[in-house]
Amino acid sequence: MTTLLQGTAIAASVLITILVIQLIRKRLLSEEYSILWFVTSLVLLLLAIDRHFIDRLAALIGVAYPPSLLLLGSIFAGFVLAMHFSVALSRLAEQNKRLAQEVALLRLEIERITKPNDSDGSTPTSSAPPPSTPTA
Amino acid sequence: MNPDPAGELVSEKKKNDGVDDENDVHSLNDIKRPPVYSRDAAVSGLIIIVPAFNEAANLAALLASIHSHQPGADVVVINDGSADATSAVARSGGATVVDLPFNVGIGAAVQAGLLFALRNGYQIAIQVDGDGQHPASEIAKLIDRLADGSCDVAIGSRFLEPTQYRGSLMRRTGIAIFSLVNSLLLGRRIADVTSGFRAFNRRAMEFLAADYPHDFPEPESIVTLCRNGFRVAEVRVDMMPRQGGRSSITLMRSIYYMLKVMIAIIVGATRPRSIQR
Repeated sequence: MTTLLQGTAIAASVLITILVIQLIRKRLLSEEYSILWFVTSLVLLLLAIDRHFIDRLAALIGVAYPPSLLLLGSIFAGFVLAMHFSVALSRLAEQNKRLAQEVALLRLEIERITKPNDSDGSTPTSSAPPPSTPTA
Repeated sequence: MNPDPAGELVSEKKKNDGVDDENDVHSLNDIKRPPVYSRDAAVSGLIIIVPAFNEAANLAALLASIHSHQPGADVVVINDGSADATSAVARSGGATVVDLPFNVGIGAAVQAGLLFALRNGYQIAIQVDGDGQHPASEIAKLIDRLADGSCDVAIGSRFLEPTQYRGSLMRRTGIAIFSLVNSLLLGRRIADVTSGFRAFNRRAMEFLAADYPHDFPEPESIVTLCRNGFRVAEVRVDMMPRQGGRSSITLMRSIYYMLKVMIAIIVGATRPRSIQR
């Protein structure tokens, strides 16, 4: 029974590892995240192969009930991961804002260059939005 | 006043006077040098930045009013991804229009305006909200306050002395709380920290173009400006209720606003100063 359970756990861990490697191969996972997930899948594999690893680790730290260490570890990892994504999102949002501003200003520049008569800001321009003809 | 940017502009103007303006704007070699779009404005160096999100209903009247009160000023409308005819109305009202590709928030819109102003050599930028709350007749007061060089930022304040302003109780309470927090952090009182009716000199524009809060930027930016040694002054102005359209501030947004700005102000105050003086 125990061997069946362990076999299943190892198989699942191997599958996760293969999935991570596949994602990296297909470039669906960028460098910084690939390391993170690769390490995660290896830790899972280790825990599946060596059933008593978590017991020894718990005894070493002084945790009475080993599974709680597993729970604590996964919650902590999830927390750090979520925090990391928040930071990454904030940075992307800032860059996104900058890009939007630059795009808008560049669009105005192009509009002015392609429509010389409107170079004076005080002259009312046509009410149509900037044309998106590829010839310009 | 910091003499450096002013000196830059003077030499720029000289260059422009020597060269034919038409060629100047269109030659690809000159793209690095910002083109000066209007000679009048280049002399006065004044630009009015109007952030607008779905303000087609208010813009025509506002732009007409600005042109009649400040005929020498250039106006740039920052269309913050509006779904209505904001861009078209602004264009037909004689403004230069910067169309943001999607809605990025008022802070980012104002910042886009400041970038535009900096790159085109303007010396003074006035922010006038697109909802018509800020009467164009009061712009001169802000300019006067900046012009004597005694401050870097002039804020049009509703509360400096009793004025006509009557916002909702909740809004006034919120403003009072921000004022209190700002006073505690800065050791001085700014009566109207949420006012978006402001004038910036070039140094302040440069500072804010680099770092300006995303949304609800006003109270937070006062803290960062003051902490970095900028002189912020308040000018008593009258404001009007919205002329049309809808305010972007609803109940849920107000709560978010309160929390976000509180965190931003208090945590921001622990940040090291970015300008060492």
